[in-house]
Amino acid sequence: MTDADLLARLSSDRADGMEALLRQYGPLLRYVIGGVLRDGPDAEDCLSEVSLALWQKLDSYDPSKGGLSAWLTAVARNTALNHWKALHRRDTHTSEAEASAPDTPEQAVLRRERAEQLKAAIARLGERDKQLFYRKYYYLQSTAQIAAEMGMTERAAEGRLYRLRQRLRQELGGDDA
Amino acid sequence: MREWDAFDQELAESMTELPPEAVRAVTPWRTAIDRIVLGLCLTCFTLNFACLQYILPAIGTVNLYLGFRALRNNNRWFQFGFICSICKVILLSINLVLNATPYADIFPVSRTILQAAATFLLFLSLREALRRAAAELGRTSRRDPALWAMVWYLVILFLGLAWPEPGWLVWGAVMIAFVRIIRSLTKAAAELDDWGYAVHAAPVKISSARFQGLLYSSLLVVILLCSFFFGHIRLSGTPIRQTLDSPEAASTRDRLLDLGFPREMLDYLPPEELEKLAGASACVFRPNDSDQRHDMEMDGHPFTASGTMVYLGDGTARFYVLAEYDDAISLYWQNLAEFRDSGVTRWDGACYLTYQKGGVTHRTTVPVTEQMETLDNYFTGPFEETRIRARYSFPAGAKERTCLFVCSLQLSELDLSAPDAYYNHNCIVNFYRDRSPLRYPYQPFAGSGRSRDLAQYCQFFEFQLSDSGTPAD
Repeated sequence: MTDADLLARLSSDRADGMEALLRQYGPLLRYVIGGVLRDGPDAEDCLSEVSLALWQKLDSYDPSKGGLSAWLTAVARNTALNHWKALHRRDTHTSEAEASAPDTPEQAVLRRERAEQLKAAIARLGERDKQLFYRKYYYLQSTAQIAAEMGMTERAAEGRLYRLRQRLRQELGGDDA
Repeated sequence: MREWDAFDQELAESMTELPPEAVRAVTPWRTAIDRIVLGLCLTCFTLNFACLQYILPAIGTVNLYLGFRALRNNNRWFQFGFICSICKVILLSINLVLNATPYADIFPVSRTILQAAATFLLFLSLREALRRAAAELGRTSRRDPALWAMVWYLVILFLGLAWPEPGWLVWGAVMIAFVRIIRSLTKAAAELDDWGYAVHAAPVKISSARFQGLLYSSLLVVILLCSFFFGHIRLSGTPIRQTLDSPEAASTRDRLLDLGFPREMLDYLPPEELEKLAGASACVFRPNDSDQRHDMEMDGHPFTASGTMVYLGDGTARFYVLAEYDDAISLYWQNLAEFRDSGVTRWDGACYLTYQKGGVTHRTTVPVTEQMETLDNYFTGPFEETRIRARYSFPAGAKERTCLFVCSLQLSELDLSAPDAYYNHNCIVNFYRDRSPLRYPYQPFAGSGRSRDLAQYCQFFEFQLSDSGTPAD
């Protein structure tokens, strides 16, 4: 079933369309969630959250901005990341307010500048390093998963990630620690 | 994120936008299946030029191995394919190494059958693995390109065995079919991209890049070592001991000297050659003078050769050519001596090397090949003659190296009963030197190729019968 067929089905019968969407893109959602949440039950809980988020946000999907799979990836990744943060807060006994204090306007500007710098630095990376970066910092995959999927040993992946991190730290003007 | 510092945290949190590349690019499925398809493409065809017949299958086989290695834990057909790909890597390595040795022809049929079987089983395992993957997604693929690939491969094998030269039309059809199958295979694999998210890439103990680097470099090293090892012909020289000649040998020696046989060449004759010259009735000696011939040098150093024809009184002659190499010429790799003059019946070739090593003079006998060849002469038409060749190498550090190259000649055109019987013979002996042992696949040095040096002994021998029936110079 093509994305256009899926979207048409979702607009005509949302429940039926949602079932078809989860059938088609379930493996993708599980893959993205599995990178962030390595515990099986947590990942299953998160999949339910993602399903709910999709149900709620489906109207905000704009096909002109990107493919359906890209949008689903972004929703799954961000939901999984929030889920992980919530688990982390629970483990460290911190409140949501403590963990995510809102940025001041100056901090927001700095953060945007930093994001632009990072984008430029990533653009300068080779294809393999770029993939390594996205796997580590976007998909939040474990080193073991990255190594296996990229046909490397864990040790080699760790070494390459270390060098990549050092390079980015230098390019972004951070300390060399 | 478990043990991340603030910098890692910052990197992860600044990635709010979706990466520009497609998410499919990060699944292990795509890379692995692309490797498998590429591997099958490169191993099914042989392009016989510029060493592509070795390079492309090597790249293809390694890609097959890496592709199946990544997917081996997902179902048993991928695991089976992985085992087949290991067999293929082993077979490839054996073939590539054997090609660098004189043993390239051992078990050729078995090796070809094993290679073909491994490729066929790889197609089979790919087909079954794709079907199983589709079934796990609850899909039935409309395409079955792997089945067609298996049929296509069987057709190729049949053509190879039963109809090796079917013509361009058939090969064109085979190529078109192959391209269509591969395109279809790629599409079928793309249809299963969703299944790729459920693929668990198997952990590896050696990175793909390192594996490729190690395999290719170790193969290269082994092939080079084999080329160097087999590029030198090991001949067991024995020290020459001064012994007293038997009365018959001493008499032959004296007679040869009387007939004009050069003393310096006589010293190089082994006892078995002396025996053959017992009935000698005349000698003609022809030195080659480096002042007269431009090609009497080798490796930029002087090369001298001289020839002696010994008439044996029965219409045959024994012909000796002694080549003396300058000490500065490197003769460690293969060398070749060859009688090139045509239209002459010759047999009973022999080749003797002498050299000095550690202050001791050694002699060794070199195996000689006698091969009948059909040649074409512009004036007389095709004719057959025996080519006599000897391949040899001198040990490293050997000095005062000589090669005595011998054969018997039939002086067939000589009418011995005629009072004015006359015989002439333009004799050419080529001495080649191989400058490099790097020749792949291995082949005995035949005097051809760009890395050769050639020095030629070329002389005109003339006999006229005297009244006694003995040829006179």
